[in-house]
Amino acid sequence: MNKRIHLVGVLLLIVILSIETVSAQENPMNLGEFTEYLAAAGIDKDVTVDALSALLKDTENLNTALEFLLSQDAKWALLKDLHLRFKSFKAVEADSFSALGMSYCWSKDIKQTLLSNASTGMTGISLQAQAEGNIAFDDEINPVDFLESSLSFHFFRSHGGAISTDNETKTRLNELSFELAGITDQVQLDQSPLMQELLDIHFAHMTTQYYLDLSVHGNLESNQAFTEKNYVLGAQLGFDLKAWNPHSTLAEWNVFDWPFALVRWMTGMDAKPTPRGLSFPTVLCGLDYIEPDHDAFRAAVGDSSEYLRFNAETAFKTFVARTSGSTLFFEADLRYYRELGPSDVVKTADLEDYLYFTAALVSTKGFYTGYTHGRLPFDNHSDELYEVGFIFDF
Amino acid sequence: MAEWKRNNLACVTTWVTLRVLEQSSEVFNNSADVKMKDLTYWNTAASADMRKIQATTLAHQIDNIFMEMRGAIYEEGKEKEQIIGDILVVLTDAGKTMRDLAAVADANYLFWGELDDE
Repeated sequence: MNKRIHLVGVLLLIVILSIETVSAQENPMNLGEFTEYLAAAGIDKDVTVDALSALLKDTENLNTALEFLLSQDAKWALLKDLHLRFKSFKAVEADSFSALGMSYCWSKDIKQTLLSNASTGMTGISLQAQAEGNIAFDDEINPVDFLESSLSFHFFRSHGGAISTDNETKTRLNELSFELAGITDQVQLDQSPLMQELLDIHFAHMTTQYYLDLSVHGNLESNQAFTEKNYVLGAQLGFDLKAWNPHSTLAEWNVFDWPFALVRWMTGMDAKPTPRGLSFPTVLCGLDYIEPDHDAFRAAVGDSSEYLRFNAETAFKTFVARTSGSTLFFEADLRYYRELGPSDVVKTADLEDYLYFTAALVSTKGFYTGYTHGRLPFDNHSDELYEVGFIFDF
Repeated sequence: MAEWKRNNLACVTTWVTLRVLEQSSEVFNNSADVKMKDLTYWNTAASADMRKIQATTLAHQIDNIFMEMRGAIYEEGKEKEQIIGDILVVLTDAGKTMRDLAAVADANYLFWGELDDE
């Protein structure tokens, strides 16, 4: 039954996408009229249908059509915060077949109010809704079967960063910007005295910025069939620090970036070891109250009771090297989840804590090499994964 | 979609701002199609919550630089909350480009040099 509903959904979506896309041309016509039109021109209907079918099986074509639809202002304005991507899912087994699916991410600030707004600092509150996940049209083939929807209330404060300049400086910054935009050679731009003048002015007017976000949230976590669910209530604190001026004491003492500052110096990216003030790790931590509803792992060990979980995440990204037209980054993410006061059966089954670490070297030209170790909640065992490859954008 | 031209203050100011914030080092002519996922703040390994925090920090700073350092004012009828929200929509979408960010800037700010009273 579920599969039939999924199939109808796919067909409906394809028909809508096709008709809307065709209608957008100068002479609007629906799919049937389009087929008739081609038939009158001597092209067999079966050939047209086969060609269209082949086109619509390609996820890139579907994504292009989706992007076109969601970029139209009037009819789809409500969906401007929705990011959809068609995906081709494949199960781990070597002899399995692929199935079409989608990932979705929708995030909306329902209401935001500034409580104070000074020149370099602001405080506010906001109400946000968010939903993200992966849906395979055949739910038996979904290697990332996890949906999360949340409603959250935030108190935030941003302080620091750019400070006001005088009118003469504003005019000079415009002049420099236009001059620098005209330079087409990368090396010439990087070494331009005008660029140095622009950076000097900017750094003289930049202070350290911090961003603080305190939130309470209600989440629904589930698989796509909603046969396994977690109801979550929690609070979370996020902290981000940016010492935008590289000559500031804080930037110079960013110990997390020192190893990479040495690498950049040795590879010639920097003339001297220069730790970056924008590369401080960002931190998120929180406490969740979780009420499992058919959590398979917990049910299997005989404890489906609600529990408290501490969560923490820290993320880090910095430069490693730069060549003409390409930048190599190091990025890492560490997540830790720990149940507070777990039962003996949960401890015995090793479900009380989860540690997940991933690190990668990523080039803006597509090269990627990564290492991942650990597990996330809903995983019953720890994995270790090495990845090397290229990321292509078509 | 904004036309990526070196005589457009929104495009040039957006490009320079991302340059001084060390988000991108490309020359202006090659920057229109630089995607958000290729900017320094975008961490592919991080969770969506984490990326949103990092994008919000950057969104506030972009607005701060436009307003304080570059002397821009908001277009009539536009408010800070809504504008930062619009910037955030671009910054949290991996596939959006610098051209998209410049379009948001063009729609929401009157830059120094575009003002009558300069």
